[in-house]
Amino acid sequence: MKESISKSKNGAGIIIISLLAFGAILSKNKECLLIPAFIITLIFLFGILTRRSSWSKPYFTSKYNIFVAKIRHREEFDFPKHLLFEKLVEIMPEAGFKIRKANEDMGDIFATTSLTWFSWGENIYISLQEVNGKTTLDFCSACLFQFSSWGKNESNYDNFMDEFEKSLII
Amino acid sequence: MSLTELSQRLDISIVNLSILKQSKSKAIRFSTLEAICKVLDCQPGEILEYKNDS
Repeated sequence: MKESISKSKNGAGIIIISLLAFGAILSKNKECLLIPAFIITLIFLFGILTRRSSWSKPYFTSKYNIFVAKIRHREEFDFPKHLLFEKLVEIMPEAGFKIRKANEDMGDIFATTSLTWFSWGENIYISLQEVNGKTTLDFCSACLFQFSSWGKNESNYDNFMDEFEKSLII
Repeated sequence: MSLTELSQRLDISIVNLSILKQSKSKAIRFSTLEAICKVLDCQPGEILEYKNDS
């Protein structure tokens, strides 16, 4: 069900662009729609560049970047790092995240969420650090271009934790 | 029997079996317990133990 919801939300972006393109064709004053269409195209190009690789992590996770709405959470688990890593890789798709990169040695996972009516999508950065048999998980959900995530960042974290808790019932 | 072989026979991922083995799970379904007992040919009491946390 989550996959079908994700696919329908992906269609939101296509609908927006289609409406703009259709409006530009029908409008007598085409110039007024060209600027927002250009801006949206730039946003999509920027999104494509930043959402396929983890090189943009410092930009999105920086606390000095005020142009990107983000949340961070830190949790400690009584799990070995490698076990927690494998469990997270298992549950991320169920939580609606698409894993782009996962490095077990570094304990890093980079995932993305899809476009919705309220958000251009978010980048999810997870890092794991093991100390004395316990593992600390750092979770960061960052919007692409928004000052406010409209609660999306928070719901990403809630979904993530809910799926993790559910997965511990075996 | 190795964890890998048990995982294949139970159709449960190795990760979940490791979590069970290390007592990190929050709960176990009766269906899972039944499957484990069936494969290992044992009783639940032979694989479960109560420990007082205090």
